[in-house]
Amino acid sequence: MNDFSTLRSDIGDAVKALDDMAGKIDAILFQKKETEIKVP
Amino acid sequence: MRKILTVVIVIFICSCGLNQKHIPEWKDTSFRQLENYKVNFLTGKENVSEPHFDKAKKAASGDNLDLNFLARIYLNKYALHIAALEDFDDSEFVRINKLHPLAPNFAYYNFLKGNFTVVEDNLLPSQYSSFIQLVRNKDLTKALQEIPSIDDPLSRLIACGIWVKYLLYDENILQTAINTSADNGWKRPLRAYLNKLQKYYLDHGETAKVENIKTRLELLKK
Repeated sequence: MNDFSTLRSDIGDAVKALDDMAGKIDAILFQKKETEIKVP
Repeated sequence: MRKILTVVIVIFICSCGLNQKHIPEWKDTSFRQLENYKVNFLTGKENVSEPHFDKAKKAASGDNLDLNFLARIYLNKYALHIAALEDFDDSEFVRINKLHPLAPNFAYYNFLKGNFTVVEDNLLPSQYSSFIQLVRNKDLTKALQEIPSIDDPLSRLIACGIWVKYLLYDENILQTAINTSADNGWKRPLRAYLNKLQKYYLDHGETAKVENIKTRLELLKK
């Protein structure tokens, strides 16, 4: 039972870290790929 | 544990792939060339800027002729000229607008041309929503408070350009434009506003200030 809750906690941490990383990668990718021409 | 992590990573990679939008190459090229044109124009690299504009235009007017995209390229060019107190030839936009009229583009065009009575305020970019009303009321005092509050420096400079070009101005508005240009290293508008300020001081008989501006202009040439 104890092992199971540790595992769940580890997975939670891993998912959170990946989510943060995904956000950063997304920002970099889409910042570079902005192509809509706006008037200043 | 290792298996679960592998599954999570695979899902993550797949979702990244799904999120990516396909951007046509011509659009990407045109956008990048226009950005290069803007930087070179403002920093006073006249010889370098025009080829970038031509490439931006060419990319947008090839097989994938997107008239809205092309119209906006021209509007960007005209806006830069206004920001640098220069005249512009609007014939290309007028031609495109006849073929493919779009109200927001036409509103912005009228704004740049000084046709303020026909500009539909709600169709202008939001940074000008208060400014356009002050322009119509010719309220310079309030405009001097409003213009510095425009976050984007290029839009701030365009607002200065519109005011100086079409309405009665004072040295404060010219100073706002000079500071904005100098802060961003934009030599071309900086030169234009310093010349304008020099003429303003000449007309008002402030000879000491004229000399001061003359020195700044000489330093700018070096």
